[in-house]
Amino acid sequence: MDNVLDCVMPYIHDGDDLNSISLVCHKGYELDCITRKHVTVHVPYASNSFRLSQRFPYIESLALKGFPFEYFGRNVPAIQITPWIQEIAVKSFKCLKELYIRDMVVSDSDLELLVRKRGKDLTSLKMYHCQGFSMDGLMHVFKYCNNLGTLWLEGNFIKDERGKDGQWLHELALHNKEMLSDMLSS
Amino acid sequence: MSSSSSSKMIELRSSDGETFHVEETVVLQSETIKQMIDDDCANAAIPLPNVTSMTLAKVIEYIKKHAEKPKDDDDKKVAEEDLKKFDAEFVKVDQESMLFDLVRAANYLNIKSLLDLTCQAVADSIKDLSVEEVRKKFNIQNDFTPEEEAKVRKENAWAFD
Repeated sequence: MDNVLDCVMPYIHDGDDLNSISLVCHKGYELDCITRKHVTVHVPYASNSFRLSQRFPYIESLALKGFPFEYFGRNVPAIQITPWIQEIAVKSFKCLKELYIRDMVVSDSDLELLVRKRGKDLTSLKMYHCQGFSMDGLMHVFKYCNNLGTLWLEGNFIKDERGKDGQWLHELALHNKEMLSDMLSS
Repeated sequence: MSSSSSSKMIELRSSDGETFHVEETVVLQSETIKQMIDDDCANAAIPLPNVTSMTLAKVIEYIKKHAEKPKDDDDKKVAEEDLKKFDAEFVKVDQESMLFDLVRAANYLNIKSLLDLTCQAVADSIKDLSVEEVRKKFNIQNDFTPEEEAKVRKENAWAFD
Protein backbone atom coordinates (compact mmCIF):
# COMPACT_ATOMS: atom_id res chain seq x y z
CA MET A 1 0.00 0.00 0.00
CA ASP A 2 3.18 2.15 0.08
CA ASN A 3 2.25 5.81 0.04
CA VAL A 4 -1.53 5.64 -0.41
CA LEU A 5 -2.11 6.20 3.29
CA ASP A 6 0.29 9.19 3.27
CA CYS A 7 -1.72 10.74 0.45
CA VAL A 8 -5.09 10.02 2.01
CA MET A 9 -4.34 11.17 5.58
CA PRO A 10 -5.04 14.89 5.00
CA TYR A 11 -8.52 13.94 3.74
CA ILE A 12 -9.56 12.12 6.90
CA HIS A 13 -11.01 14.51 9.47
CA ASP A 14 -13.26 12.47 11.71
CA GLY A 15 -11.67 11.81 15.10
CA ASP A 16 -12.92 8.23 15.31
CA ASP A 17 -11.54 7.42 11.87
CA LEU A 18 -8.20 8.96 12.81
CA ASN A 19 -8.17 6.96 16.04
CA SER A 20 -8.59 3.82 13.94
CA ILE A 21 -5.70 4.84 11.68
CA SER A 22 -3.50 5.42 14.73
CA LEU A 23 -4.04 1.78 15.70
CA VAL A 24 -3.40 0.00 12.40
CA CYS A 25 0.41 0.14 12.57
CA HIS A 26 3.32 2.30 13.74
CA LYS A 27 3.33 4.27 10.50
CA GLY A 28 -0.39 5.03 10.78
CA TYR A 29 0.16 6.16 14.37
CA GLU A 30 3.01 8.46 13.39
CA LEU A 31 1.12 9.89 10.40
CA ASP A 32 -1.82 10.66 12.65
CA CYS A 33 0.47 12.35 15.19
CA ILE A 34 1.86 14.82 12.69
CA THR A 35 -1.19 15.41 10.49
CA ARG A 36 -4.07 15.73 12.95
CA LYS A 37 -5.43 19.28 12.99
CA HIS A 38 -8.02 19.13 15.75
CA VAL A 39 -8.18 17.34 19.08
CA THR A 40 -10.89 17.32 21.70
CA VAL A 41 -9.65 16.41 25.17
CA HIS A 42 -11.92 15.21 27.90
CA VAL A 43 -9.73 16.69 30.57
CA PRO A 44 -10.98 14.70 33.60
CA TYR A 45 -9.91 11.48 31.89
CA ALA A 46 -6.73 12.70 30.25
CA SER A 47 -3.34 11.90 31.72
CA ASN A 48 -1.63 15.22 31.22
CA SER A 49 -1.13 18.15 28.91
CA PHE A 50 2.49 17.29 28.14
CA ARG A 51 1.50 13.91 26.76
CA LEU A 52 -0.96 15.59 24.42
CA SER A 53 1.60 18.04 23.07
CA GLN A 54 4.06 15.18 22.62
CA ARG A 55 1.61 13.17 20.58
CA PHE A 56 0.01 15.95 18.53
CA PRO A 57 2.54 18.78 18.28
CA TYR A 58 1.00 20.34 15.16
CA ILE A 59 -2.70 20.67 15.98
CA GLU A 60 -4.33 23.92 14.90
CA SER A 61 -7.45 23.57 16.99
CA LEU A 62 -7.89 22.30 20.53
CA ALA A 63 -11.03 21.73 22.59
CA LEU A 64 -10.67 21.21 26.34
CA LYS A 65 -13.73 19.89 28.11
CA GLY A 66 -14.40 19.39 31.81
CA PHE A 67 -17.34 17.51 33.31
CA PRO A 68 -20.42 18.77 31.50
CA PHE A 69 -22.66 20.67 33.91
CA GLU A 70 -25.71 19.51 31.97
CA TYR A 71 -25.19 15.94 33.11
CA PHE A 72 -23.51 16.32 36.44
CA GLY A 73 -25.09 19.47 37.85
CA ARG A 74 -23.13 21.93 39.97
CA ASN A 75 -21.71 19.29 42.30
CA VAL A 76 -19.01 18.03 39.96
CA PRO A 77 -15.38 18.63 40.79
CA ALA A 78 -14.21 21.85 39.20
CA ILE A 79 -11.42 21.21 36.73
CA GLN A 80 -8.64 23.77 36.66
CA ILE A 81 -7.33 24.64 33.25
CA THR A 82 -3.99 25.98 34.54
CA PRO A 83 -1.68 23.06 33.55
CA TRP A 84 -3.11 23.07 30.04
CA ILE A 85 -2.67 26.81 29.64
CA GLN A 86 0.89 26.45 30.91
CA GLU A 87 1.55 23.83 28.25
CA ILE A 88 0.07 26.00 25.51
CA ALA A 89 2.00 29.04 26.76
CA VAL A 90 5.39 27.34 26.29
CA LYS A 91 4.65 27.13 22.56
CA SER A 92 4.08 23.41 22.64
CA PHE A 93 1.43 23.52 19.97
CA LYS A 94 3.16 25.92 17.63
CA CYS A 95 0.38 25.86 15.01
CA LEU A 96 -2.47 26.39 17.46
CA LYS A 97 -4.98 28.98 16.25
CA GLU A 98 -8.29 27.94 17.77
CA LEU A 99 -9.10 27.16 21.37
CA TYR A 100 -12.42 26.02 22.79
CA ILE A 101 -12.80 25.69 26.55
CA ARG A 102 -15.87 24.17 28.09
CA ASP A 103 -17.02 23.48 31.67
CA MET A 104 -13.72 24.43 33.28
CA VAL A 105 -12.30 26.83 35.86
CA VAL A 106 -10.34 29.55 34.11
CA SER A 107 -8.78 32.26 36.26
CA ASP A 108 -7.82 35.76 35.14
CA SER A 109 -4.17 34.78 35.42
CA ASP A 110 -4.78 31.74 33.18
CA LEU A 111 -6.27 34.02 30.56
CA GLU A 112 -3.47 36.51 30.98
CA LEU A 113 -0.75 33.86 30.55
CA LEU A 114 -2.52 32.38 27.54
CA VAL A 115 -2.92 35.63 25.65
CA ARG A 116 0.39 37.16 26.65
CA LYS A 117 2.19 34.18 25.14
CA ARG A 118 -0.17 33.10 22.38
CA GLY A 119 -2.61 35.96 21.87
CA LYS A 120 -1.16 36.90 18.50
CA ASP A 121 -1.56 33.33 17.22
CA LEU A 122 -5.19 32.89 18.23
CA THR A 123 -7.88 33.48 15.62
CA SER A 124 -10.69 31.92 17.61
CA LEU A 125 -11.38 31.70 21.33
CA LYS A 126 -14.57 30.13 22.57
CA MET A 127 -15.57 29.66 26.19
CA TYR A 128 -18.70 27.92 27.29
CA HIS A 129 -19.90 27.25 30.85
CA CYS A 130 -16.60 28.36 32.36
CA GLN A 131 -16.07 30.12 35.65
CA GLY A 132 -13.37 31.82 37.69
CA PHE A 133 -12.55 34.81 35.52
CA SER A 134 -13.68 38.42 35.47
CA MET A 135 -13.62 41.35 33.08
CA ASP A 136 -9.94 41.77 34.01
CA GLY A 137 -9.12 38.50 32.28
CA LEU A 138 -11.18 39.39 29.25
CA MET A 139 -9.46 42.75 29.07
CA HIS A 140 -6.16 40.91 28.56
CA VAL A 141 -7.81 38.99 25.74
CA PHE A 142 -8.89 42.23 24.07
CA LYS A 143 -5.44 43.69 24.55
CA TYR A 144 -3.27 40.85 23.26
CA CYS A 145 -5.42 38.99 20.74
CA ASN A 146 -5.04 41.27 17.74
CA ASN A 147 -5.89 38.57 15.21
CA LEU A 148 -8.93 37.18 16.94
CA GLY A 149 -11.76 36.78 14.41
CA THR A 150 -14.07 34.89 16.74
CA LEU A 151 -14.61 35.46 20.43
CA TRP A 152 -17.53 33.46 21.67
CA LEU A 153 -18.61 33.57 25.31
CA GLU A 154 -21.74 31.81 26.44
CA GLY A 155 -23.08 30.56 29.72
CA ASN A 156 -19.97 31.60 31.65
CA PHE A 157 -20.00 32.82 35.25
CA ILE A 158 -18.09 36.03 34.87
CA LYS A 159 -17.27 37.73 38.15
CA ASP A 160 -18.90 41.11 38.20
CA GLU A 161 -16.63 43.96 39.11
CA ARG A 162 -17.77 47.50 39.23
CA GLY A 163 -15.79 50.45 37.97
CA LYS A 164 -14.50 48.74 34.87
CA ASP A 165 -17.45 49.57 32.69
CA GLY A 166 -16.32 50.81 29.38
CA GLN A 167 -12.65 49.98 29.93
CA TRP A 168 -12.96 46.75 27.96
CA LEU A 169 -14.48 48.73 25.14
CA HIS A 170 -11.47 51.01 25.25
CA GLU A 171 -9.04 48.06 25.10
CA LEU A 172 -10.98 46.51 22.27
CA ALA A 173 -11.02 49.75 20.31
CA LEU A 174 -7.27 50.14 20.81
CA HIS A 175 -6.22 46.63 19.84
CA ASN A 176 -8.88 44.93 17.80
CA LYS A 177 -10.87 47.37 15.72
CA GLU A 178 -12.15 44.66 13.42
CA MET A 179 -13.82 42.75 16.20
CA LEU A 180 -15.27 45.90 17.69
CA SER A 181 -16.91 46.80 14.39
CA ASP A 182 -18.26 43.25 14.17
CA MET A 183 -19.73 43.55 17.65
CA LEU A 184 -21.25 46.94 16.97
CA SER A 185 -22.78 45.92 13.67
CA SER A 186 -24.31 42.70 14.94
CA MET B 1 -7.09 11.59 -31.10
CA SER B 2 -8.72 14.91 -31.76
CA SER B 3 -8.01 16.16 -35.26
CA SER B 4 -9.80 19.49 -34.86
CA SER B 5 -7.09 20.93 -32.67
CA SER B 6 -3.65 21.86 -33.77
CA SER B 7 -2.24 21.43 -30.27
CA LYS B 8 1.06 19.64 -30.05
CA MET B 9 0.78 15.96 -29.13
CA ILE B 10 2.77 14.49 -26.29
CA GLU B 11 3.64 10.84 -26.12
CA LEU B 12 3.43 9.05 -22.78
CA ARG B 13 4.73 5.56 -22.13
CA SER B 14 3.29 3.44 -19.33
CA SER B 15 5.31 1.07 -17.13
CA ASP B 16 4.19 -1.89 -19.28
CA GLY B 17 5.39 -0.21 -22.48
CA GLU B 18 2.15 1.02 -23.99
CA THR B 19 2.24 4.49 -25.55
CA PHE B 20 -0.49 7.11 -25.39
CA HIS B 21 -0.76 10.30 -27.41
CA VAL B 22 -2.32 13.23 -25.60
CA GLU B 23 -2.63 16.88 -26.50
CA GLU B 24 -0.11 19.04 -24.71
CA THR B 25 -2.83 21.39 -23.40
CA VAL B 26 -4.54 18.41 -21.76
CA VAL B 27 -1.45 16.82 -20.30
CA LEU B 28 -0.31 20.10 -18.72
CA GLN B 29 -2.74 19.37 -15.87
CA SER B 30 0.03 17.14 -14.61
CA GLU B 31 2.57 19.36 -12.86
CA THR B 32 5.15 16.58 -13.18
CA ILE B 33 4.78 16.37 -16.96
CA LYS B 34 4.53 20.16 -17.26
CA GLN B 35 7.90 20.38 -15.53
CA MET B 36 9.37 17.84 -17.95
CA ILE B 37 8.04 19.80 -20.93
CA ASP B 38 9.34 23.07 -19.48
CA ASP B 39 12.73 21.41 -19.02
CA ASP B 40 12.65 20.27 -22.63
CA CYS B 41 12.61 16.61 -21.69
CA ALA B 42 9.50 15.78 -23.71
CA ASN B 43 10.88 15.45 -27.22
CA ALA B 44 10.70 11.68 -27.11
CA ALA B 45 8.03 9.60 -25.36
CA ILE B 46 7.81 10.45 -21.66
CA PRO B 47 8.36 7.28 -19.65
CA LEU B 48 6.07 6.86 -16.64
CA PRO B 49 7.61 3.88 -14.84
CA ASN B 50 5.18 4.15 -11.92
CA VAL B 51 1.95 4.07 -13.91
CA THR B 52 0.48 1.01 -15.66
CA SER B 53 -1.37 1.33 -18.98
CA MET B 54 -4.68 0.54 -17.30
CA THR B 55 -4.22 3.34 -14.77
CA LEU B 56 -2.80 5.75 -17.32
CA ALA B 57 -5.82 5.22 -19.58
CA LYS B 58 -8.09 6.21 -16.66
CA VAL B 59 -5.94 9.24 -15.85
CA ILE B 60 -6.07 10.38 -19.47
CA GLU B 61 -9.85 9.92 -19.52
CA TYR B 62 -9.99 12.18 -16.46
CA ILE B 63 -7.71 14.96 -17.69
CA LYS B 64 -9.37 15.00 -21.12
CA LYS B 65 -12.78 15.49 -19.52
CA HIS B 66 -11.40 18.19 -17.25
CA ALA B 67 -9.76 20.01 -20.17
CA GLU B 68 -13.08 20.61 -21.95
CA LYS B 69 -13.79 24.32 -22.12
CA PRO B 70 -17.40 25.58 -21.91
CA LYS B 71 -18.41 27.93 -24.72
CA ASP B 72 -20.34 30.52 -22.71
CA ASP B 73 -21.73 31.18 -19.22
CA ASP B 74 -24.89 29.11 -19.74
CA ASP B 75 -22.80 26.29 -21.02
CA LYS B 76 -20.47 26.73 -18.03
CA LYS B 77 -23.16 25.81 -15.51
CA VAL B 78 -24.18 22.75 -17.48
CA ALA B 79 -20.54 21.78 -17.86
CA GLU B 80 -19.92 22.12 -14.11
CA GLU B 81 -22.85 19.84 -13.33
CA ASP B 82 -21.70 17.43 -15.96
CA LEU B 83 -18.19 17.40 -14.52
CA LYS B 84 -19.51 16.72 -11.01
CA LYS B 85 -21.43 13.72 -12.33
CA PHE B 86 -18.39 12.55 -14.23
CA ASP B 87 -16.21 12.77 -11.10
CA ALA B 88 -18.74 10.86 -9.00
CA GLU B 89 -18.87 8.08 -11.58
CA PHE B 90 -15.12 8.15 -12.14
CA VAL B 91 -14.26 6.98 -8.61
CA LYS B 92 -16.84 4.19 -8.68
CA VAL B 93 -14.31 1.58 -9.76
CA ASP B 94 -14.89 -2.17 -9.62
CA GLN B 95 -11.58 -2.95 -8.00
CA GLU B 96 -10.47 -1.01 -4.95
CA SER B 97 -6.89 -1.54 -6.06
CA MET B 98 -7.66 0.65 -9.08
CA LEU B 99 -8.64 3.51 -6.79
CA PHE B 100 -5.35 3.10 -4.91
CA ASP B 101 -3.48 3.01 -8.23
CA LEU B 102 -5.20 6.25 -9.21
CA VAL B 103 -4.15 7.87 -5.91
CA ARG B 104 -0.55 6.84 -6.56
CA ALA B 105 -0.69 8.03 -10.17
CA ALA B 106 -2.29 11.37 -9.24
CA ASN B 107 0.37 11.83 -6.59
CA TYR B 108 3.24 10.90 -8.91
CA LEU B 109 1.92 12.94 -11.83
CA ASN B 110 0.98 15.75 -9.44
CA ILE B 111 -2.57 16.36 -10.67
CA LYS B 112 -4.10 18.17 -7.71
CA SER B 113 -7.80 17.84 -8.60
CA LEU B 114 -7.47 14.12 -9.32
CA LEU B 115 -5.56 13.61 -6.08
CA ASP B 116 -8.31 15.46 -4.17
CA LEU B 117 -11.00 13.39 -5.85
CA THR B 118 -9.42 9.97 -5.36
CA CYS B 119 -8.08 10.60 -1.84
CA GLN B 120 -11.49 11.84 -0.72
CA ALA B 121 -13.04 8.69 -2.17
CA VAL B 122 -10.62 6.52 -0.19
CA ALA B 123 -11.16 8.61 2.95
CA ASP B 124 -14.94 8.21 2.57
CA SER B 125 -14.53 4.47 2.10
CA ILE B 126 -12.81 3.98 5.47
CA LYS B 127 -15.49 5.94 7.34
CA ASP B 128 -16.56 4.10 10.50
CA LEU B 129 -14.46 1.03 9.72
CA SER B 130 -12.89 -0.94 12.56
CA VAL B 131 -9.12 -1.03 12.96
CA GLU B 132 -9.04 -4.56 11.59
CA GLU B 133 -11.10 -3.54 8.55
CA VAL B 134 -8.75 -0.63 7.83
CA ARG B 135 -5.75 -2.99 8.00
CA LYS B 136 -7.42 -5.35 5.59
CA LYS B 137 -8.37 -2.59 3.18
CA PHE B 138 -4.83 -1.21 2.96
CA ASN B 139 -3.23 -4.62 3.35
CA ILE B 140 -1.32 -3.43 6.41
CA GLN B 141 0.48 -5.77 8.77
CA ASN B 142 -0.05 -4.88 12.41
CA ASP B 143 3.44 -4.16 13.77
CA PHE B 144 2.33 -3.14 17.26
CA THR B 145 3.06 -5.39 20.20
CA PRO B 146 -0.15 -6.14 22.15
CA GLU B 147 1.14 -3.84 24.92
CA GLU B 148 1.78 -0.96 22.51
CA GLU B 149 -1.61 -1.36 20.89
CA ALA B 150 -3.37 -1.46 24.24
CA LYS B 151 -1.60 1.74 25.28
CA VAL B 152 -2.69 3.66 22.18
CA ARG B 153 -6.21 2.26 22.44
CA LYS B 154 -6.46 3.40 26.06
CA GLU B 155 -5.15 6.85 25.23
CA ASN B 156 -7.56 7.21 22.31
CA ALA B 157 -10.43 6.30 24.58
CA TRP B 158 -9.79 8.73 27.38
CA ALA B 159 -8.79 11.77 25.59
CA PHE B 160 -9.02 12.24 21.93
CA ASP B 161 -11.86 12.51 19.50
